[in-house]
Amino acid sequence: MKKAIEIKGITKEYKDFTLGEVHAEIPCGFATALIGANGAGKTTLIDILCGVTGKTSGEAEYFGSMTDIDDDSLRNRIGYCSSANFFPMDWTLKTIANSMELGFDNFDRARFAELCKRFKLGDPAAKKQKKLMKLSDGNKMRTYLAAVLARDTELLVLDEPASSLDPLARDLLCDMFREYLSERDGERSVLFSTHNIADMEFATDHAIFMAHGQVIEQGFVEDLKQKYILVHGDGMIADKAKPLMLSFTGNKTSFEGIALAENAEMLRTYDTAIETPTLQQLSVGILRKAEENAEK
Amino acid sequence: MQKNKTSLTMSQAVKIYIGSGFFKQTLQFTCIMTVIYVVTIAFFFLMICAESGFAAARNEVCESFMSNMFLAIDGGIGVALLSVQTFEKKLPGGKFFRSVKGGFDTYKKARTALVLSVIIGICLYIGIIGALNAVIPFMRYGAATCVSVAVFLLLGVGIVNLISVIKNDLARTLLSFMQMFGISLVGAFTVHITKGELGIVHITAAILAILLIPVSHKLMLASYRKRRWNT
Amino acid sequence: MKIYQNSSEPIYKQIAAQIREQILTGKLKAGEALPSIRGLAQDLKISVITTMKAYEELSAEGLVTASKGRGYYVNAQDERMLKEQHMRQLEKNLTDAIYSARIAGVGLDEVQQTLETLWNMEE
Repeated sequence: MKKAIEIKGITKEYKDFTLGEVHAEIPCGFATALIGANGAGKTTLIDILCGVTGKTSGEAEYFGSMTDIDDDSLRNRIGYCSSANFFPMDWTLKTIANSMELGFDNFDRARFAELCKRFKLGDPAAKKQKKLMKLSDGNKMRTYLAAVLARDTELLVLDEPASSLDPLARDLLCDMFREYLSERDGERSVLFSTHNIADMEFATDHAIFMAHGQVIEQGFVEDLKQKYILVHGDGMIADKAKPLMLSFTGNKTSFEGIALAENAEMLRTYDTAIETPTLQQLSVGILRKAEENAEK
Repeated sequence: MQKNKTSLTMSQAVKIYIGSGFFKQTLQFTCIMTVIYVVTIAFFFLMICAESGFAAARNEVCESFMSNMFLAIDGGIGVALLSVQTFEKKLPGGKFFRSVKGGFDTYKKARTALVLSVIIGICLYIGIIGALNAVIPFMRYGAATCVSVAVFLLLGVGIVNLISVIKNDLARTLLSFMQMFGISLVGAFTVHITKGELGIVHITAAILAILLIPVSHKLMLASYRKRRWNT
Repeated sequence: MKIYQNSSEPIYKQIAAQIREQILTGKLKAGEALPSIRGLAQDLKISVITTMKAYEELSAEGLVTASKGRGYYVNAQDERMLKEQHMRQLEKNLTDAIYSARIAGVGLDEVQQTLETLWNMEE
């Protein structure tokens, strides 16, 4: 399968945190979610991939051939934005358009105006402009999204785009992802990070799970849903089921967690309820398992 | 080194970083400094005038060196305010600047353009005040003071570049302000001491400034790239 | 198309079932293109991978073929294969009926009788 990015052993050393080695793939033509708790290293990884932060070692291969993020032809193909303070706070829609137009070769003013209208942000060509600092967090994020989507790119990389958005705006964001992917069928990809996948489930094709600076699981969502099962059971049989489960929480009334699908038959004999997990349930299970391992 | 030379000009680079181009930025800097100077001096003059009469005001503001001192202070603060703007990654906009085409090359162009803008701004500001003083004298040793303050402000620009190598944000900012404040006053006072004569001190400072600005600027950029650009 | 997002039946199966029905009933004719994977995902507000999996299932059944770079096309359904598909569906439904009959303790005679009555009512 074609890859938008192949991450080959990237590491980053800080005084108090180490990322990697990260080996992962961002498939081309799909939306990939980078899922992990706060402090898992999602932002560091995204920043490295977009040339915002330097890496200590390793390499990333973009679009099957390019490896130098300082190459402008690569930077132009990637549409990146962070969630907090992406632009100086005294900037307006107009300043953003002026700056973006020079900062990238593919910024389209007309499209920016159209997206601003769609996101109800105002008119970037209007005389009277509102400074970013006067906007709510949600509208700031919408502004960043309008700016990055106004560029004709092949890969969107968004750091926590949904966290400050209200439910309606999240729905719109999911629509924007699908529209972006569909506009050039199979040639465009999306990578976004989130610590809460619940509202983004139906816009996620591929998932990469991170904890403590490491990738702990990755794959296409449909495949992961076949690999893992969601298990519920009565507290009475918890002791018997626990060794077969990957993550486990419970009390004397009931327990739940995820397990590998290959253990489904065995767990069924203990009279447990077995279901296909949602991506949200899967995330909780996988991340909880990582926490349990870290505590050991 | 950058593999591909970006086609951005310095004015375009500065527009990416501050949203407005080189000329607008320089003009804005000059205007703000000039207006602050004129308004402040006019304010003190009128206040003292209302209290103690025209002669007292003239004595306090013009003869006693207040107008000279404020020329330096206003300039010093203006330069410091612009020079401490280093577009750190953790500040708003920092990540955007690191993602635009050209990367550090664009940063380099923007910072160079901003230093040039400050230098031109200082010259224009002091030039305007000097011209005003020639029409309506309000400074003692006006012409000499203007030259001296300008020279020392330029020397200050070079020293601020050196200070910006310091990694700690607070220390760097404080030191930059104190240094600019101090050196601009030195510029004003030397003329007072020499009774309006421009001498060896000023020539030395001018030569130092001319040498120091490009060298310190290169040093500052190299240190920034290594320690603060994308760590 | 109608999708239950919270059903226990996976979404890709729901999509596959509805397209299968359209092909078997002749609503989608041989040679016709299916909607693009990402276009359908956009319209249904679901993930791209879900529609892709639905198409892959139909492709495995031989109902559609992926044409490299140009999407999926409906295959010519020859009479025998169509009949086979229909028979398979019929067998599946009858198996369900037998299952219900066994639970209820209803004999073969009675089931045949019920079938006949229902058959005549439909006519």
